[in-house]
Amino acid sequence: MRYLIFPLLLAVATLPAQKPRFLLDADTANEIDDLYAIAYLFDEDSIEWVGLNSAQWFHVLSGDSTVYQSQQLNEELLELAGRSDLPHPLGADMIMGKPWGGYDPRDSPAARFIIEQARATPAGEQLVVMCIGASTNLASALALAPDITPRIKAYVLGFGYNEAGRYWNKDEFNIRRDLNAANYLLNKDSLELHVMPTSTAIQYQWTRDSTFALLDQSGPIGNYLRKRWENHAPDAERWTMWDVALLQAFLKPEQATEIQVATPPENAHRIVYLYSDIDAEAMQEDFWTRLQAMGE
Amino acid sequence: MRTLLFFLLVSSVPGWTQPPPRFLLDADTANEIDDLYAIAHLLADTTVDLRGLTSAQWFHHLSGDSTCYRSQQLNEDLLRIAGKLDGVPHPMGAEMIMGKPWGGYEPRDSPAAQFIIQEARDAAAAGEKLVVMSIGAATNLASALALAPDITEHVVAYQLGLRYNVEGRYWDKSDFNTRRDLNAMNYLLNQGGLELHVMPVTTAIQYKWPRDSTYALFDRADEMGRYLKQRWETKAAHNHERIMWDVAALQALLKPEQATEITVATPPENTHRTVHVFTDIDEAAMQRDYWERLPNYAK
Repeated sequence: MRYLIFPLLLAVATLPAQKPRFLLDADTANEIDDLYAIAYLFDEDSIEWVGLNSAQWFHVLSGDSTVYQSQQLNEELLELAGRSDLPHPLGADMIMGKPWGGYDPRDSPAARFIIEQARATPAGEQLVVMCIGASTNLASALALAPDITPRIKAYVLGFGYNEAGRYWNKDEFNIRRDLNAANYLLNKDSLELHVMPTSTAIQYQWTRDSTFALLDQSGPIGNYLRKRWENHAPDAERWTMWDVALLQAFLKPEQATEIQVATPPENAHRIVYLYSDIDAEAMQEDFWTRLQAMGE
Repeated sequence: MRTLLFFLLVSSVPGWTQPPPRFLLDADTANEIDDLYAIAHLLADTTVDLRGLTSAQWFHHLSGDSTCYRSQQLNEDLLRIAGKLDGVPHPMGAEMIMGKPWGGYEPRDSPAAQFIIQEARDAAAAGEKLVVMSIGAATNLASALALAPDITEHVVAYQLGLRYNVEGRYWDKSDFNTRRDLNAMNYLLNQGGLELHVMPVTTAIQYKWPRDSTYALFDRADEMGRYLKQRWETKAAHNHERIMWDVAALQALLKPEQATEITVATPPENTHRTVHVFTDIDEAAMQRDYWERLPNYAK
């Protein structure tokens, strides 16, 4: 009997670690880089990708229905990749709370999906929710169902952070799109929160000409991404790939430096994780290796 | 006697020297009820030289369009009731924030911004300063400063907004006015050479008026009282109490002895300099003053 147990134990010990369950929440129509991040995920096999949410990004110049605009692009991209089977619920079209503050959750299919997936995550594991736009859907899910908090590992693209002075700056696009939601995450005591500040992600800049040359070798998805750049920012000779930086930092932690810092003084006093550096060169090499393989 | 009283009043205000300071109020009047109460108090004031009343935007996703235009309409109503529609210039402000929703300091030109520039230059020519108080988003003032940096040293800015924690010595930019134009607020904080006084909402929150006694006092103030009462009734009938944020800022300026002001550092993400922040108000004295002045409209 002892002989039988030993090989079994050995087999368990050598099993690959469970793939993390992963959910991306994207304000896709706001910018260019969200689509590049989503495209990169199509061939990612180190995670169990459970869904793609759409997020709002309303502002005085955005026009209405920003979440529907994001949803439409998500659906286009999923269809192009033959992944329309991936759940892709619609997020909220308005911020959490009111324009002057507050934390009333903004219910949506996306918030409900986060709750459902968090609860479906096996004991001892966590659902990774990555918000590359405003964190309206995630914060609302946590406010609607606080029981899911320990089951979530949150990754957020946003804020500025000054490492030398150890201070934050909330004057940043994603944070401004839902300051209430950002504050809710910072204030949520037992939530594991990882932040990619734009002051770090700004290192990840791509030049248009070399990007277009590489996209031309990347099949239909490459063509789609090129078109997005051409339509959205025809005059931009370079672009910062904010969202892609966070995604790749998460997927390959060895390509980024993460430190622990105190929350801003006006928020609940606790420690969160913050990316202070990335290896932009290695990230870019990985990105193009993968994307060009899609074109083969 | 009136002359004697005037000199006593002027000389009792620390920092105010003769002649009475040139003063301009910039208000997002249609957003709330307290702007109107501040304007009503100001229009009956004799201690400042009121140069103008400008309107400010307060756009957000629930506001609807034309927020500045709506403020402008209410400003004109109040001036008409006070009989000052022709006497007090009231140019319209900008309908949009300074810069872009993601940052930037491109000025938003408007008749209000141009008026601030002209008044500041006139003050400078007379060897005086122009006091500009923004009780809404700082769009118009910040745009004026960005359009004409030469006026900076001739303007004294008073701003209702931000939160400040005296004990921890830190700021919080999550209040209503700051959120309505974060770029403009940052511009003021960053503008070295600008004398900036802040009434944070953490201090103004002390100034609460109960509805029922307020209504009774409005009833003694003729048409102006009726108008102000109607505003509460239509905007906040269910509120038994309201905080008079804007009135607190105005009265603290008009009677500095009714407020405590300290000098503090700007937020770390802004230009490192010092600004003035109100940390306390004597709300009982302020309220007494307010209700002594308002019935003057009935005379």
